[in-house]
Amino acid sequence: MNAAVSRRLFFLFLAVILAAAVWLRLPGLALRPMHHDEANQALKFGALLERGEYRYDKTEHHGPSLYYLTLPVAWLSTRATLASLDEAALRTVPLIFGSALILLLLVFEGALSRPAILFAGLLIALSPAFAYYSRFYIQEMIFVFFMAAFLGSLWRAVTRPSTGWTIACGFSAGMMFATKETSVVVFAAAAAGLALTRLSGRREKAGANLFTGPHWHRLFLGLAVAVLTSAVFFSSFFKNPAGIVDSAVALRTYLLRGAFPGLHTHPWTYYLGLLAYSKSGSGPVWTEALILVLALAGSLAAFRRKSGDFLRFVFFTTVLTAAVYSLIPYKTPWNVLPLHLGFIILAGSGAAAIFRSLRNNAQKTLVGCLLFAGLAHLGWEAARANFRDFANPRNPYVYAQTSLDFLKLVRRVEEAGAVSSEHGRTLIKVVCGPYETWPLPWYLRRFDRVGYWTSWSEAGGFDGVSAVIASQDQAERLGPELEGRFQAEYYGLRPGALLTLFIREDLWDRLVKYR
Amino acid sequence: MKTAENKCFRMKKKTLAWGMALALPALASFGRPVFSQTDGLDQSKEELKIQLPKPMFVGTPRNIKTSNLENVTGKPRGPFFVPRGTRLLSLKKPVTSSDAQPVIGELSFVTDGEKSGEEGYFVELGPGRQWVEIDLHNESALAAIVVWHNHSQARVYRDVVVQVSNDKDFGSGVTTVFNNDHDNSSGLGIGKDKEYIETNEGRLVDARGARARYVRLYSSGNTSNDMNHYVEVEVYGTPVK
Repeated sequence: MNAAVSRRLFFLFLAVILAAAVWLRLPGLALRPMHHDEANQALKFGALLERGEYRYDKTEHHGPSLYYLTLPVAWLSTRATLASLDEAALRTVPLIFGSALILLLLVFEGALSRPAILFAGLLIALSPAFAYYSRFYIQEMIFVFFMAAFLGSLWRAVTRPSTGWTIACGFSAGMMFATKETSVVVFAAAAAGLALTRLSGRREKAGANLFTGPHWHRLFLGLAVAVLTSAVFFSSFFKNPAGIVDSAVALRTYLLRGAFPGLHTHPWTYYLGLLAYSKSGSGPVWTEALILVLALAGSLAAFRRKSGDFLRFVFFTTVLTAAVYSLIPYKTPWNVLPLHLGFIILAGSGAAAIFRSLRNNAQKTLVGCLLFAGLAHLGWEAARANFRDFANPRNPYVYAQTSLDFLKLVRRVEEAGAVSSEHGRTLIKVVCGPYETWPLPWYLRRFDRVGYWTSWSEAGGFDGVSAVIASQDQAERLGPELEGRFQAEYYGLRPGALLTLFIREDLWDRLVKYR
Repeated sequence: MKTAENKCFRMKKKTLAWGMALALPALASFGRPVFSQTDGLDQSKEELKIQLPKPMFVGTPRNIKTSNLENVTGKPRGPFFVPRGTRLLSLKKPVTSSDAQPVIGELSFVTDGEKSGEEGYFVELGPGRQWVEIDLHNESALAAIVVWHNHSQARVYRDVVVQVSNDKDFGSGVTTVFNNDHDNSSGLGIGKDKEYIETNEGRLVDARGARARYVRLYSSGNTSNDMNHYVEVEVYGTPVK
């Protein structure tokens, strides 16, 4: 089958797959309300955009690559301030990396068959997890992009040593670390994967070159490029050298968070369950079981005599990554992506191997129809995840998502600002705990006078204040003070979490009058 | 010492007399399982007993005291008294809706007597303003209407309006017994009732004896999503002969 796919046809198919991926990811980028984490990242990027300020925080927010890689998007769209940014502009960044990941599969050419690459590209395009998080302004899609680049260039650097691939491998590793410090898990898994591939190899001595004397200099070159790349980002382009040390110190923070995750504790079966079968109440079944089944076929193929060593390397790396990610108690659904990438590469080869093993056209037609139905189902789920159930808690990829109702609160505050005589100088006080504050700073970014307090007792007086937004615990204390002067309304922040909006009575009367 | 003993004895006698005075009427009312006597209050009334589903979310919502938000105490609702002979009229009665094809569940869930907040017990109507209407079959003097929207988590249903009428189309003779649409976004008039957080107690609406055959309940989405949910509606009253 490999020979049947000409190079031109191969690129044509890849282009069609890329178009399908963009079609499933691009429309309505701003549909979903900003997640708590997205808003956090957006504000940090705003500081970089407006004032060139970025200082690595070893306790939170992961690495800086997301912010620096957002700069070109902002510049190209001529946005120079946080206020001028919008959700679509920010989410263009993960969209680009989530789509370009399909083209990046070309790095595996030679190590994987062309049909295997096409199947893998198709599965990335249609996977609900990949489609959903390609519209999520967090680090994950950038991380997975550089992880694919790392695995491909590492393999090439090992099997066909060259300075170019060594630098590419080091750069990818550096970008992975500059994106998420927890990339060390993948580095360790890949190193162990290489060793296991070499040990289990029968014909080629995979990885042998890397560990022999003459190639030590390449190993050091790769490491140097990786360290330099990450150092550039963590030091804010050498403006904050302490960031380099902090990036190493941060590993302790993430180790502790992984071991004692609090609210984000999930069982070891979480990621496999997420991909295999999810159903919440009367909601529909969500499944990417097709990918898991094909990945199983790919895993079996990896140990067949005719298969190349690369597939075995992917198998070992994926299994080890999945094991570590599953054993760490801290879990969020977007963290499934690094292991899911491995499953998809294996699945691509699995699908190609199944077709290769079929003897007649009838069998190929039957399996082709079944596969088409499975792929169509995946695409339907991806469309549902992105365009219909993007904020629905029954969607398993939705996690602590800001509810659509929250946008009504924002609209009400804007309406109050519009009828206010302060004309754009509306004074707003937010009195919420840290978990309830976000994503308010993103949505209130165009108001000049917004103050944030975590306790009612620190918020001062309320004369001249147009609106007060309070979490439930703070609203309890504020209520008596604001009674008679403010009209109050409930709004949903996240499932089970409410905010109370207090609007000054005179503004409220005007609002009702002019509506 | 003796004086003290006499005083103590006099107090015991007094306590005994008061105790008997209070206990006798209570003993007289023994054996009434459905409604308890409103001793010392209006003898024509009795306490409305409502069977409550178990609560679905841990922790009491915080107490927010403002003029237009319900004061959530976290304690059980106090007794509500209704005329003697009041009974549940709505059980298994037919339900119609502005959304004839619910997204989840059946309209019959509204009056099926099941009040659990778990999945599978609520009917989900489409987004925006929607209503359900219960046909009691007869004109009745309505004492109380209790509504449970989805109480699986802390959420607030918007623009809750409860109306009763003898006209099934609610074109005439409409009485509004509850309205918390304080900005008239539903177009049924500005309401002065308070927004409230759903709990397993449901929201008890005092129907104040309004006479009607049909009960219609409106809502316009909730704080978690734009959909409208009903686990159960109970209408209490006495049929008009």
